[in-house]
Amino acid sequence: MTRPVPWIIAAALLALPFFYHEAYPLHILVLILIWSFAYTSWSIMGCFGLVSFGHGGFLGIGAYVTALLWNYLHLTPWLGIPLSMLAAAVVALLIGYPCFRLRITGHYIALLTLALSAIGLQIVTATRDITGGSLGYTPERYHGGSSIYALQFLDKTTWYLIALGIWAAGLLIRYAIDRSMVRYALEAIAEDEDAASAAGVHVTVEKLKITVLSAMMTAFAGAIYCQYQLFISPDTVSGIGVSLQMVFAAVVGGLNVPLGPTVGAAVTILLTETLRISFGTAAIGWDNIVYGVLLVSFIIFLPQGLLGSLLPRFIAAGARPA
Amino acid sequence: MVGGFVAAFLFAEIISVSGLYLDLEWGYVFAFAVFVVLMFARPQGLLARRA
Repeated sequence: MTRPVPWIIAAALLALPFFYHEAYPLHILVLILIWSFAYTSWSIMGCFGLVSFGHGGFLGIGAYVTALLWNYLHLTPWLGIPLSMLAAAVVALLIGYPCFRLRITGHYIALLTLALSAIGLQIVTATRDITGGSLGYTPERYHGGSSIYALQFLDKTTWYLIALGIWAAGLLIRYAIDRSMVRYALEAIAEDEDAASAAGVHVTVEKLKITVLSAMMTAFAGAIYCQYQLFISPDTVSGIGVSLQMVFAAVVGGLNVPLGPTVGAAVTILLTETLRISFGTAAIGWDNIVYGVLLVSFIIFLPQGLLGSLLPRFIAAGARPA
Repeated sequence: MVGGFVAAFLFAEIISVSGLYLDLEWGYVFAFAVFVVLMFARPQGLLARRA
């Protein structure tokens, strides 16, 4: 309890929905929290140089497996979500093991994971009789609307609190990794694989551990997004666009700072919403152009990300004697 | 240059022939699957010699 500011912020975030009931801002906050968790999941791999462009695939597995199990087998999401996470872990192992065993690194990993993302998108589209294809898919609504069994809630406050808990859990996982031996092992691997191996680090196992954890967390984010929106489509939870969005947001916020992906999620979602509302139907497509230009500018002028660039300046300013 | 031509021909054939028998999307799935397998088997490229 030596630093009160984080506790005050946590209390304010917890109390927010009990004092503020506007549906649209709460909806945006829920989206920011869920996507922050997804971007944090990506960043726990990305910060060690394992740049994946295939996390859209894991997000899609989480969302579609949970929804399909619910609609076809009436399996509660409480079981469907762990199963979808297991499916994502199996796919991560299938791709990750040969990759790391054959020492495929750098651009090749990016290309391979990009292909994984494209495969996921095409499978969802090809199996349109089951998944709804590009038209999207809707999990069946539970009879009363809200149900703990079906993990469906009409109330935005409930979803806000769930999303807040998930976001906090994501930060705790990131915090735990930053303070574990896995971090040192992966940093050594990122510097020099041969040297790390010679020092006794099991390169394949360490890389697989973080890949599987990241994939499972991303699948969980996809499943929660599906439960919240009750509508999924390849454009929103699968494919290359979503994978690139995850990379951009994490980079914009700051890859090496635990709160970086959260800042990235807030900036990208608020930017998208503001541009969409400002341009409306007057200039269709222009919001995407402005969004792209701003993202590129952020990456060029703030390569450490917003938080990664600004935080050291604040710390330095605070440490400077008056 | 020849490698690029061969790869383009191979992938176009996989997509088209698969599309003939199944949906076109499955063609892309098979093409990307072949790409993944090739990345594991011959990361230096189909016709390239090992350095």
